[in-house]
Order: sequence, then C-alpha cells, then structure tokens
Amino acid sequence: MAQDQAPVTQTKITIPSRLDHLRRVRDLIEHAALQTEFPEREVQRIVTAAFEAVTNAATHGSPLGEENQITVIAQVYPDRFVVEIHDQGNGIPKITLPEMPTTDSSRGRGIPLMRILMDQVKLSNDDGGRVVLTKFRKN
Amino acid sequence: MAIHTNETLEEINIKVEGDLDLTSVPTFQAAAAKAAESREQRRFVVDLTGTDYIDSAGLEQLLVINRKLMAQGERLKVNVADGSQPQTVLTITGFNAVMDVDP
Repeated sequence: MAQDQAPVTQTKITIPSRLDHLRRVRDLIEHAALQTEFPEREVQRIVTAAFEAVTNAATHGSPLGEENQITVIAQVYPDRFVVEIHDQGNGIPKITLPEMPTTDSSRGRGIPLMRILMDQVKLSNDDGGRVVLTKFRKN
Repeated sequence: MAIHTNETLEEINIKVEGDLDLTSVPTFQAAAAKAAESREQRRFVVDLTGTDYIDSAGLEQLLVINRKLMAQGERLKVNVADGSQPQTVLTITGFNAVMDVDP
C-alpha cells in the first residue's frame, strides 16, 4: 500500500476553537468524505469519528479557549481517506488508545469511538495535539 | 436543535430534532431534568428518530438518565431511525444492552 502518494484532493480549514464553529467543520469533513465514493454508512462513520476528534480538540486541546485554533485537513487518496486534526494543546500525555469503557462509566468514549469507526487512529504530541484518522477503501 | 416534550398517561417522551452533541447538550439536559421531575411512574422515552447525529457528549447524557432510571428498577427507552447514525453509535458502544433501543 503506497502511503507516500499525493492526495487526489485536499481540503483544509482553520477555525477558532469555538463550539459554534464545529458543525461547519463537520459539514466540510462530510463533503470531503462524500468524494471518496465510500458507502453512506462508511461516510457516517468517518464523520462521527472525525467530529469526536474535533470536539476533543476544542474541549481538551485549547488551553487558551477561543484564542486557540483548530486545523482540519481532509485528504482523499486513491486507496484511502485521511482526516488530520491539529490543535494547540499539549496532546494526550501518554499516547495510548483506550478501550471502550463499560456503560458504568459516563465518559471517555471519544477515542474508543474513533478506533472502532476508523481503520487507523494515530495520536501525537508534536507541535500541539494531532490526530490522524484513516479509512481504507475496500475493494 | 429543537426539543419537544410530549406527555401521555403512560410515558413522557423527549423528542430531539437535529443533533444531540456537545453544543446542544445543555438544552437537552434542561429538558430531561424537567421531564424527570414530572415523570412520576411514567416511562421515560428519548426519541432520536429526528436526530441526524449524536456524539459522546450526547451519549453521556443518555447514560446519566438511564442510571437514574436503573436505580428505580427501570430502563430508558430510546427510539431511533433504522440505519441512522444514532442507531449505529448506540450499538457499537453497547448502550443497546443497558437501555431499550428501538429498533
């Protein structure tokens, strides 16, 4: 699988870290995902996972609140769809991918949801928090 | 997002039109608290058939309601549209095992 090829299309948006901007980002991700010709169910899953990452960026990755920015890059490749979410927080202190909590626990479902809904989830703390979500095309 | 609370003798039903996400949770929370106060013995239903999208913040609210109901020996009923995003998310998170998700 060629990971170094250039994207066929790329869409980038940078917004202030404000909750009232988040739906704009979700619409953009959905629009980009629809270009992949993934089935509607897969687009729904991509958008759900990506929006969890964006809301995490707004709630946990923006220490200065609305003064911080969130950047989202959606890339369509021939064999996959990639969404990158960058924030200006410290990232996740320990890069672990938690399991889905039981229903006894109210919180902590954002990253587990991303893991279940996407094929690949990568987190990093380089230059702010960064989440890369990938869904591969299955032929 | 709009919320409509419909009451009958048997149930109190909170219908969510639009998204149940981080931005709309406070409105939902207020409606749910009000419904819980006036529910008495009636069934508590959250209707997500008009909901396109629920996120983990919305899920958390359903759990909070369900936990209170379970303490009284009851379960929350959640109506969803077949094939919808809420149905998918409630299934993969295992919520359908602790609440009555229909269908």
